[in-house]
Amino acid sequence: MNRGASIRGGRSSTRLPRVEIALVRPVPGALVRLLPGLFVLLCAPLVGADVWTVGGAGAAAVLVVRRPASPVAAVVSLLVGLVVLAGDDLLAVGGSGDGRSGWRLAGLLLTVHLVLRTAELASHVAWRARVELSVLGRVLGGVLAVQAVAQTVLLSVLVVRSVTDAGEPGAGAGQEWLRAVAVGGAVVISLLAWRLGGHILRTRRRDAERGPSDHERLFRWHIG
Amino acid sequence: MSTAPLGSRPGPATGHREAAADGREWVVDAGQVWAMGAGLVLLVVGALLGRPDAALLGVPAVLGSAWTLVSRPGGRVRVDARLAPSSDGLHALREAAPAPEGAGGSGVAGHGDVSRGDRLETVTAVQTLVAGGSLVARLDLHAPPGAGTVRVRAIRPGHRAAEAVVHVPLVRRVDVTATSVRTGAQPLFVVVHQGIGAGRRSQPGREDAGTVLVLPKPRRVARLPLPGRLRGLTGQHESRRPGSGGELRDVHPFQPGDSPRRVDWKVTARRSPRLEELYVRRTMALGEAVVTVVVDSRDDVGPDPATWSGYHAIRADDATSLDIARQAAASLAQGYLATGDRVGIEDLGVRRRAVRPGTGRRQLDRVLQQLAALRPEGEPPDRLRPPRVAAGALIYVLSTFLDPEAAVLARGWRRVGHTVVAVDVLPRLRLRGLDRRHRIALRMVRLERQDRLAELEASGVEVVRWVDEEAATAHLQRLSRLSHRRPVAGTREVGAGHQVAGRRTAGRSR
Repeated sequence: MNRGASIRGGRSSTRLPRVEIALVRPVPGALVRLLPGLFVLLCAPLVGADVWTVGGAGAAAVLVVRRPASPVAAVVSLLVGLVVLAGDDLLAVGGSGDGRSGWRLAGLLLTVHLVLRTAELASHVAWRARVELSVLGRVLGGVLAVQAVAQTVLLSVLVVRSVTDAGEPGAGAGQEWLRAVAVGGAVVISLLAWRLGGHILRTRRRDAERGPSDHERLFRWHIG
Repeated sequence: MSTAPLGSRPGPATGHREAAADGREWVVDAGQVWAMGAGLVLLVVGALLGRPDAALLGVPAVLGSAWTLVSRPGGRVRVDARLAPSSDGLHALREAAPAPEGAGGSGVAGHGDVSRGDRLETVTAVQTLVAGGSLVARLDLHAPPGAGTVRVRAIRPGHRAAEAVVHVPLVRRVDVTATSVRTGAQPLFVVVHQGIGAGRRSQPGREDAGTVLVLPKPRRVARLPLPGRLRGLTGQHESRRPGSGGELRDVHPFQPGDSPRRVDWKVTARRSPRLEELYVRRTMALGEAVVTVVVDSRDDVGPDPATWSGYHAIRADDATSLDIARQAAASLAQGYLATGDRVGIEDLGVRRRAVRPGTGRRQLDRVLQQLAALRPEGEPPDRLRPPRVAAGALIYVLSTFLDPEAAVLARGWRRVGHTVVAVDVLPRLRLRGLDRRHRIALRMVRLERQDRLAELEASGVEVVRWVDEEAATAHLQRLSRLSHRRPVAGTREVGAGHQVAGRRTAGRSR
């Protein structure tokens, strides 16, 4: 007999009634979780069509889908850059790309960026959660804003190269000043990154000392 | 009784134990750091090697990360949770009552805010126990500029939690719904929330939507039995005593004290043409019934016997014995109060809870409130004497009869002459999944219970099983027909057992 019965413990929650949250145009969280993997797979044909690339992309897609909060997405972008670096210059005037290498690079810029941003969003989404479409629209808006800059830079590089290489085709004249500007920019950005990294490290150390709160455990447990 | 909308007053910012006053509660996502690192590596390596194609691949990551440096959300995410003023299956709030002792909080007066969890809100469950109703909480989400997205997880005991990522352009209102067949005090929702935006996330916060008191929904019962003796000189029922207001009792010679207006001149002219004697029409008096509903709140068992030990949770979509008892008592109270009778509530579990017999609409409100507040409170103390009931009252004993106490009391009341109806509120049992030990234990408990109910019937107590509502209503109507019949020698009276004939009724009069 249940004297002073209280709800304790728990049986299988498979058939329990569910709490419903009224959302506007929701999409399943599983779809959002799959998006970064999809974009990783889209990167593969843009980088190369060999078996190793496709296999690696598949493995990376599985990893980024399972653990979107892990550094897999960043590693994928780094690997894509290294593969591009190991190949021919995609922006070389009169290169082996038959004019399509520029489009390949533009596509890579977009897909790599989408991998990063969708993985960032997916790291906050549980498999059984629901996501409003406007959240995806917001992410896409941020991507488009950055892409507008990045693609403009790409176009500028193409224009500058076509102008500077016009006199001496294939010699790469005029690269030095561009390289100096890039190095200067990288140093400035590195200083900013140093500052940001220090802030992040301090935050993480503080969080580690404090330990996760009950609410954080709730979210972490659910995300897996 | 006010029905002011709950959303009329903005709730205070509460439940942010970890919140800071500014944006320091926002932390950068690890993925953002890694992305920036990878982008920087590509940018630097591509620049150094003179490969703008590789360097360009790092540009989006670096730009995106740089954007997070300048677009840090400047505040904190705030969520105000409250009971929605109306929803499918549930009425609007009828009144807000201060939380009882032990429920926590200070009992803030006024309407419209349950966000602190320190008040009880009263709602009326419209749906029956079978159909279930909906509890709706309204969340007001406030996100600072730069955040734009809030992750919300709504939790309710006995339910699967729901999680959503919601777009919040500064302010957003979202409804959270859960079905419920339960009555009485119950938690509404707990909402865990976290802001997301600009590559950062806020510290998770928790908001408690408070506790709601769901009143039982009375079922309409057309006719109900009456006690053996009516009280008072007014009421809806005709008593057996001479008086005024009722039907004709007899025609009697005029006596001192008779009103001259009652003289029946036709009868007088026929029987006494010379007017030696006057004849008056005497009528029955009217009266009201006194009904005491005794609820056994010591047990609250679900349909699954495996949960009776208290170590397993009762499913949220299972009506417990106390839910059934609340609905049965509310139906009985409403039926009697609608006809002007007096109804009181007694609780076998806790002695201090009692609603003294009364009548009227306010009494029904008191009864419903009292029924909703019933709950088991640990090991109940042994009773030395039964609850006091009015003389001649009709007594309903609502219990699972899993232990002998309620049955002993019912038999005692019957012995002293009360009309007693035992209402069995044990839910329909779900035996699937029970192991052998549970089955054996359940069999023993059921055998004891059957013996107990048989003894009750043998002692003259009517037993009504409420879990089958249609059958229970039909049973009550049958009892009603018997109780409204004027007893003569040889007929059976309500409350008498099947084997007890009307010999007891002959000497009793209303």
